[in-house]
Amino acid sequence: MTSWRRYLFEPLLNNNPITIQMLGICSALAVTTNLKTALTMCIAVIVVMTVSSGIISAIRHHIPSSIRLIIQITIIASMVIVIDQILQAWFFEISRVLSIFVSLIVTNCLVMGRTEGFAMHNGVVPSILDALGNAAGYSLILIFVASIREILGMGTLLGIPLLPLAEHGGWFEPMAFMQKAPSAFFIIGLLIWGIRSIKTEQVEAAKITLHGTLPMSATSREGGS
Amino acid sequence: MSWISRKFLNMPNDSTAKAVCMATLVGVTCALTVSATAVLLKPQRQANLEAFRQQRMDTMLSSLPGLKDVLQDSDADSLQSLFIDLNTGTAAEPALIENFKAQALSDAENSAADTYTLALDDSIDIAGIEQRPNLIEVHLLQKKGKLNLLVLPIYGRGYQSTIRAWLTLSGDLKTVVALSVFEQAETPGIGARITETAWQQLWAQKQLHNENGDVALSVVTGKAGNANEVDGISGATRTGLGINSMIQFWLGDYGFAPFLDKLREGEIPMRAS
Repeated sequence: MTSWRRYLFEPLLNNNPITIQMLGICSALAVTTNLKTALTMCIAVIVVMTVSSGIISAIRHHIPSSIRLIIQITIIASMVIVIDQILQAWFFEISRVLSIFVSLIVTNCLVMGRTEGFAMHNGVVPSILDALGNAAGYSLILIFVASIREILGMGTLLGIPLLPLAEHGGWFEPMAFMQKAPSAFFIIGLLIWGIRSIKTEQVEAAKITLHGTLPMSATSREGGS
Repeated sequence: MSWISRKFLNMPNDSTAKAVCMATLVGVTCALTVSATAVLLKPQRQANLEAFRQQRMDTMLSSLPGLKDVLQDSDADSLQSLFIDLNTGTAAEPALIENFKAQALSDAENSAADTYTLALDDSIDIAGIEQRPNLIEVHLLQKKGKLNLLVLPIYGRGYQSTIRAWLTLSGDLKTVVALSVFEQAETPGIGARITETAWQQLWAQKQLHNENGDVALSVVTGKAGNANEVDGISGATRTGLGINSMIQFWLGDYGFAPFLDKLREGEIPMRAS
């Protein structure tokens, strides 16, 4: 029972796919300009990951290892197409913004990473929980980044005006930079810094030493980064 | 049956037979799932696309120079949409329109399709569209019973995508009011610049015909030399050529020429206001 809970909650913060595993960064940059698209992307990723992890885990004993990756991709890609079709049919406005990114879920390293790294070796229930947990961890970061970018970039949240805009006589001047992709890099970077300052066990050992400086792990141990 | 499946499942995973069987099984299952979803949701997706195009059309019209004044004019009628039969150049019968719409929403490939579409030979098909619907919807704006604006849908192959646009003509059916590209996937930054307002504005006041009365409206490489020519976009020669072919096709005998003739002769009745 505790291990089940671990599958589900571990990826939220302690082993978050974005801040620790560094998977799925590209889509995190692309869809986080506002909260609505981010939420839709989260739901799509959660559904695709959970269903494909479940299916792959269920047939894992019969997947020949020589063609396992292609079988995983086929299943994930089919799921993605089905989701994309559903979006186009019932959520047309959102699909116009998201269609290209939804198609790219196929190449989202996170989905393949979890099916190949977990679902291929574990039972159906743990695989589904692991997929749910990782997708939720991914969603958590997306929602966080998207909220910051929408509030600072447009002064709204989910399209509801939050800060009085200067052009309507308020004090808030929207930061155009927040609507550009690089801002997500900064936010994710600051977020990782913040998380690792609190949870110092997440700090990785330095792989390189810059000339004339102490190794990074040494500085972070001394100064707590 | 169960004997076969048990035998199959008990095959060693590294055998070629199992790999082939698994690949086939997964492939067929996934193909069926995807096809089923695509077919079941097609009507809904099609309807969304139609609504979207209509919306783009409305936005385009309201941004046309001068149209606002025309619409505000108390004598002006609102916009009228008309399905025309491209073969005869006349307004299509209501019953035919209903069938056409129903057929467009169902399967476009079925056997009844040739009632509604015309397959184009390579010699005719300069726009690269392979087949052309027999019925098409145009939009007319009239003022005091006289034609003021005519909006024609045109489409064809550009450099790497199908370009769809509205060609708006003024009431004399000779002068271009606007060309509005509303769908394309040309090279971003090069061919895709045909969607830029600055370029589309070049089309206003251009003349359709040359002195001989032939359709001569075209995009040229470099600077426009006369009233028929529009400046080309550097690097986007093939996109420009695609647009030229579209114009030649859609204003030609297999396009709107019969309809435009009927309009000039006054044979298309204007709806009473």
